[in-house]
Amino acid sequence: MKQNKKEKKEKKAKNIIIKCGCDFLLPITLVLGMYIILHGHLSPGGGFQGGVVVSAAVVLVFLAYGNDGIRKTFAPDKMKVTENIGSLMYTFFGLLGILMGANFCRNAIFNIGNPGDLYSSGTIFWMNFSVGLKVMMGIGFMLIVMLRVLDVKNE
Amino acid sequence: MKRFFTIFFLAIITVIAFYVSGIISVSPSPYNGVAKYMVDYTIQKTHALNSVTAIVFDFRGYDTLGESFVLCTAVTGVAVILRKAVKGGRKDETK
Amino acid sequence: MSIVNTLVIIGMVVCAIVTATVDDVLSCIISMGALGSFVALEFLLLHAPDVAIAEGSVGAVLTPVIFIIALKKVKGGKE
Repeated sequence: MKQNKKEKKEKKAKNIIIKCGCDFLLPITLVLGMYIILHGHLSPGGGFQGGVVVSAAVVLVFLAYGNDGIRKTFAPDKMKVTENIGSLMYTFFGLLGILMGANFCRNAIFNIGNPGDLYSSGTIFWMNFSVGLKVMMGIGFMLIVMLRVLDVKNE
Repeated sequence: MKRFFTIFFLAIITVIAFYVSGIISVSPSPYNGVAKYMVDYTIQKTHALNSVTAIVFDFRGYDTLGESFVLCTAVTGVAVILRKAVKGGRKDETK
Repeated sequence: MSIVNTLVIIGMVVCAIVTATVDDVLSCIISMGALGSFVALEFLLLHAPDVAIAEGSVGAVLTPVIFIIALKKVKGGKE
């Protein structure tokens, strides 16, 4: 019994380095990913790259806290719904060209703001945002499901 | 004999690859038509400074739409194939 | 072509050869992750930061994680 407790303590002491490192890296990852998504039309990056960077947070949470931490932190059912909402948002901003009297996927509201502002390039900004939402939720959901396979027993 | 044929065809493929890459690096790049239009009119037509994003989300909008549906299909496939893992996350079914 | 560029390309080739020839599967996965980060560095040196971000996050993080999950699920391919 005593030895068991000692082993547990050693395991905890080994894990604390990974835990502190992941706690330090997690906010930086989230803020950098959202920056890449929102500044997609000004600086290098875009929806897909920022979404993939944000969805790496799932891996960080798994490394630090295991599958129980993922179960407490994320809500995969809502993530699935949010991914479909992102897809519908993209289709709506494509249809906005038809509603404004041009062809499909036409950038009809591009002259809002000056070039160089944060909210400047019309539908490009919103399409970036919807693709980023879609990619981060989709790849995060895939990673959560694949990590949960480790818990399921065979047969 | 099999080994000889393998090395022979690998040699042919290597020669063709070097020949084609040499031709590509020497020949002048075609800069007219739609490529010239995209490079010249990016800021006028879209007001976006990053021209890669302007091309991906504006001039090539259909392409990105299909790409996003590909991701949607991939997520659906993962959720269908690994449905035991999706179900195993609920609280009443664990242990 | 600068010296750094040549070194990065040599590192890519070495990582690819190690990935193809090594026997242990875990070492193979880790050297594939190293190959992904070398490719991202090469894209950055060729002035394509867009592709470098995507390659660095997909090739160096997501693919090794998914392969390690599969390796852990089949218990190293031994049973």
